[in-house]
Amino acid sequence: MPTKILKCLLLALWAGFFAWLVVFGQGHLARLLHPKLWWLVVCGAVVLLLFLAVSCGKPATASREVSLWWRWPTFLILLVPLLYGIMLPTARFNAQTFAHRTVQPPDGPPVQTAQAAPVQPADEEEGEGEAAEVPLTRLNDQAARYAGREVETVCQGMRDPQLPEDLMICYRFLINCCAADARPVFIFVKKTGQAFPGNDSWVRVKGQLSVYENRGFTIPMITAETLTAEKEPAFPFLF
Amino acid sequence: MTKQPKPLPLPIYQPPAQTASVGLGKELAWVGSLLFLAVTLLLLLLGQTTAWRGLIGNIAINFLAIMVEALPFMLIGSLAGGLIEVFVPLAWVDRVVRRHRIRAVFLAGAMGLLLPVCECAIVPVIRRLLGKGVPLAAALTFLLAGPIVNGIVAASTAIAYSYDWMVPAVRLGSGYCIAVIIGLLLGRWFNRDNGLLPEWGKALPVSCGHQGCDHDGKPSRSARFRHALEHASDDFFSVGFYLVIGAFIAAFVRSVVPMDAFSHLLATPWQAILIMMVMAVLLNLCSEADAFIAASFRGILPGSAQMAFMVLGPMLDIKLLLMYLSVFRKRLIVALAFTVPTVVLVAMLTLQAFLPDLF
Repeated sequence: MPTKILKCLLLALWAGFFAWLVVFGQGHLARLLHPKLWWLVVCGAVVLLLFLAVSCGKPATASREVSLWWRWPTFLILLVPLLYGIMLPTARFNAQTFAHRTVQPPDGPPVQTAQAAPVQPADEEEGEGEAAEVPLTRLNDQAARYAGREVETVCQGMRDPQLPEDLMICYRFLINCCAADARPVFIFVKKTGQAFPGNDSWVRVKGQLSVYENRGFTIPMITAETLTAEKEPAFPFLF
Repeated sequence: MTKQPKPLPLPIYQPPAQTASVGLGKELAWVGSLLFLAVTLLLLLLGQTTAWRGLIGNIAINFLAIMVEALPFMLIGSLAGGLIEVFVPLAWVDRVVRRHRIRAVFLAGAMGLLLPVCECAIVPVIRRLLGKGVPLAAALTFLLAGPIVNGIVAASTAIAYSYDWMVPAVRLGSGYCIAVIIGLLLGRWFNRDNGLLPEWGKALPVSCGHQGCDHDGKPSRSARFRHALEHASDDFFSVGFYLVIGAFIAAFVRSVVPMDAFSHLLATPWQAILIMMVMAVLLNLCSEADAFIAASFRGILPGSAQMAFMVLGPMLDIKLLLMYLSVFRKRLIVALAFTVPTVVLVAMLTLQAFLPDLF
C-alpha cells in the first residue's frame, strides 16, 4: 500500500508540474524548451494522468515487487528534477555559460559556433535608413546587407578583458530543441560614452552596423547611439 | 442442473518478479541511488549560496530542459510498449520470424518498425520470443535493432535534429546493418544451449509481469487497455530514475566542461567517436531520448561521433548489460560487449570517411 501511495504521489506531482508549465509557467517553459515542442509537455501530462488513473484505481494485491526498503531511493530520484525546479525563477544562462560554450583562441575574440537555421530575408517594407529591431542571428548571417544601416537589437551585455575598453559583447543563445543545446550568438557593440550596463544585463542597442576586423576575425559591430536597459524578453532564446 | 462454466479471470497486473541476477546488484544499486541523491541534494543546497548560484543554476536549466524534453518521449514509449505487449499477438511475430533462420535475422532487424519497444522494455520481450522458440540469432538482432529501428525513435531523432531527416535515416540504417551483422556473426558461434541461461530456458518466462495472463485471450478490450497502461506505468517507474540520473550527469558535464575541451577533438574524429562511445555506455538514457543528448553536441563534435552515441547506447549500456544477465550466459554477454562496440566503431569510421559533413 505505501508503494502504491508513493507511486500515485509521484505521478500526480509530475503531471501537476507538466500541467503547471503549460498553463501557468510558460515564462519558465520558454527558458527550457523550444515552443515548437511544447506539445510534448502536454502529451507527457496526459500520459501521466492516464498512469495516475490506473495506478490509483488498481486494487492492492500481494506484491511480487522488491520491498519498499530497496525501492524508496529510486522513487526519491524521480523527485530530484522537481526539486531543481525551485531554481527556475532565478537560474539564467550567463557570461559563464557564454564562456563555456564558445571557443576562444588565446590571442583573439571568441569564435562564433552557432549555426542558425536559414534566416528569413529582411522584411521588404524595412526602410533603408530606418532602425528596426533585428535578431542577432540575422545580423550575423546578413552582416553585409545591414552594413552601414542603422539597426536595433536586444541582447545581453558582457565585457571581455581581451577586447578594447570601448567594446562589449552583445549575446544571446540560439536553441534547436532545448536549453541544453543552446549556443551563443553574438556581435560587438562599440560604446560612445555610454556606461557599461553590467555583465548579463539585458540591453537594447541602437546604432549603425559595421564589421569589426581583427587578426583575421570578422564580427558584426554596432556603434551604439543609444544603449538602454531592457526587460528580459518573454522568449530569451533565439530559434 | 448444468454446471456454469467458470468465468475467465480478469487479468490482475503484477509487477515483474526480480531475478536472482538482478537481486545480486540490489544492494549496490541502493547505495548508488543514495549516493546520487546525496550529491544532487548537496549541489542544490550549494546552489543557494552566492558563490555557486551561477554554476548550479546552469546545471538546473540544462537538467530540467533535458528532463522536460525527454520524459514525455519516455512516457509515450512506455505507453506504446504496454499497448504492444498486450495487443500485438506474439504468435504472429513468431510465425513470421521462425521459418528461415537467415531471413529471420534480416526480418528481425526491421521488426522494431512494427513493435516499437525501447531498450528498457525489449529484454522481457526477447525472453518471451526466445521462450516461443525464436532462433537466438534473430532474437539478438531484434534485441540490438529494435530500440533503434522504430518509428518513435525516428521521430524523436528528427525532432532533436530540427527535422533533418537525414539523421534518423542514417541512424536507423546503420542500426539495422550493425544489428544484422552482429546477429549473423554471433548466430554462427552461439545457440540456445551455449548462449542462454539453462534455468531460464526451462520454462516460459512471464515476460511483462502479467501473471497468468494471456494477452491474446478473452478479456475485454477496455480491460486489456487498462492492463497495457498498468504495464506502461510500471515501465515508467522501472526506467524513469535511470533517465533522471543520465540527464543529470549529461547536464553536469554540459555545464562544467568547456567547449574548448572538446574543440581539440575536432581534429581527430576517431577520438571523438571513441569518447562518445564510452559516453554512450555510461550515459545512455533511452533510445527515444538520447538523440537530444547527442544533438546538444552538434557543432562541437563530428556527426559520426554523435551517431556513435545514438547507435551504440541503445545496444549496449550499463543498465542493458545488467538486464542481459537475466537471459544470456556470461560468454555471450562478453561476446556482445566486444563485438557491438567493434562493429559500431568500424561503421562510424566508415561513415566519417565517406560522409564527413553529414550533419
